[in-house]
Amino acid sequence: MTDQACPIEWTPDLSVGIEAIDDDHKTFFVVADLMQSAIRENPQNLEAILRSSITILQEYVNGHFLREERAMEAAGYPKLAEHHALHEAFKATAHRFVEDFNKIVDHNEQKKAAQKLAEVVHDWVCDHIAKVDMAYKDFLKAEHVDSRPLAFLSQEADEGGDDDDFDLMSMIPGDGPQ
Amino acid sequence: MQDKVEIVFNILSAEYCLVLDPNPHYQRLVKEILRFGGPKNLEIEFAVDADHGLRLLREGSMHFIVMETKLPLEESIDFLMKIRKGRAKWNFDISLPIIGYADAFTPQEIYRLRDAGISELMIRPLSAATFFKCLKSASSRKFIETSGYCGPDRRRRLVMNYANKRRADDRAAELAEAAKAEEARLKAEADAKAALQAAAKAEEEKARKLEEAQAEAVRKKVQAEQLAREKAQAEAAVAAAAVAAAEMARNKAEAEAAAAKPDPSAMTQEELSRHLLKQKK
Ligand SMILES: [Fe+2]
Repeated sequence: MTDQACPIEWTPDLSVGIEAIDDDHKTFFVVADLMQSAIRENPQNLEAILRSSITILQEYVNGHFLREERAMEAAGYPKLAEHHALHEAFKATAHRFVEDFNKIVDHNEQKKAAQKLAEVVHDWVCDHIAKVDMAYKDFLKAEHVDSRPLAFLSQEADEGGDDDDFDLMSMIPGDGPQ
Repeated sequence: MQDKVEIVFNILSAEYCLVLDPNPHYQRLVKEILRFGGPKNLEIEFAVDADHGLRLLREGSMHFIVMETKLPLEESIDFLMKIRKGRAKWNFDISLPIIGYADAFTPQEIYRLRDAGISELMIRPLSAATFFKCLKSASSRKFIETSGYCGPDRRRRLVMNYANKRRADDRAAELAEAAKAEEARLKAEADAKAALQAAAKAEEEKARKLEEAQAEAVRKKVQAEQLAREKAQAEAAVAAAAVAAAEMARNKAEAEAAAAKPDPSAMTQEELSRHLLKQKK
C-alpha cells in the first residue's frame, strides 16, 4: 500500500463497524505516530520513550489479535485459520524487529530501527485492515466481540504475566511504622 | 475470574485523572495507555510541575494520579507529602491512588517515595499491563493516617514492571543476586554451625581436662597417703626391729647373767653369804 492510500491517522473509511476493534486500530496509528514524532523531535530521553512505545505496541498487538480471533471464533467466521496465520506471521516479524532493536547500542542506529518498526507497524495495520479485516466486516457483530479495554486483553494474551511482578518491598528493609 | 471483576470495578469507574510529567512524549504515551487501555471516557489533565499539579487538583477532584517521580525527586516527594498530609488543607481526596514511574530507582529512592505516600512504582519502559496492575493494586489499598505517616498501607507490595530485554536481564540479575545471597546465607549458617560446634568441643575439652586434673589430684592424694602409710609401716617395722633387738639383747644379757650367776646349791656357805649380800646391795 502506498503512503497516499495509508494516512498517518486512522480514517472512518478504515472502520470495520465495531467500535472496540476500530479503537484498537486507532491505537496502532497513534503509537506508531508517537514513535515517529519522538524520533523527529529527538528529546534527551528518546531511547526510554521508544522502549516504552515498543513495549506497549507489542502488548496491544497481542491483545488486539486475541480480541479479533475470539470474535471470529464466536461468530463462526470461516476464514479464521488463515486470518490467524497472518496475525502470527506479523507477530513474528514484529518480534524480530524488537529483538534487533534491543541489541542496538548506537543512538542513531536505534532511531533508524525504531523508525523502521513504526513504519512497518503502520503500513501493515493499514494494509491488513483494508485487505483482510474488511472481509469480516459484515460477518462480525458487536455481540461477538469482547469489548473490554485493550489492556485487559493484552494481559490475557500475555499469559503468565503475573510471574514478572517484582516485589519492591523486598529491596528495602522493614516496613516502617503503620 | 475474581481479578477481572476487581480491575473492571476499580479502574473503569474512574473518570478523572491527573498526569504529572513535563515530557510531552510521556504525556502522550500515558494518555494512549489510559485512553485505549482503560476507562472509556476518562478525562485526563496534564501538569508540568508540582505546583501546576496541586492547582489542578484543587480545581477539580481526580480519581488517581500518574506521575514522573524524578521531577526532580525532591519535587516529587514534596508533591506527595503535600497531598498526603494535607487532610485539613485540601478539598480533594488525599487518599487517591498515585502511581509513579522513572527509568530506575535506588532502594533509597523507593524507600523515600514510599514513605512520602506513593501507591505504586513502575520502571520504564512503561507497559500497559503493568500500568493496570498497579492501578488495581493501588485502588484496593487501605489508607493509613498516623502522626508519622500518611499514605497507602505500606505492608501491601508494590508492583514493578520488567519489559523486553531489560525485563529478562533484570530478572536474570535478580535471580543471580538471590542465588548469591542464598549462597552467602548458607555459608554464614554453616560458619555459625561450625563455630558453635567448635565452642561445644572446646567446652567439652575443658570439662575433660578439669575432670582429668581432679582425677590426677585424687590419684596423687591416694599415692601420698599410701607413701605416708608405707613410711609409717617402715618406721613401725624399724621400731619393732629395735624392740626385738633390745629384747634379744636383754635375753642374751639375762642368759649371760644366768650363766654367770652362781648356783646357790653348789656354793659353799661363805660363797652363798657373799652372793646374798651382793644381791641385797
Ligand atoms: Fe486482523
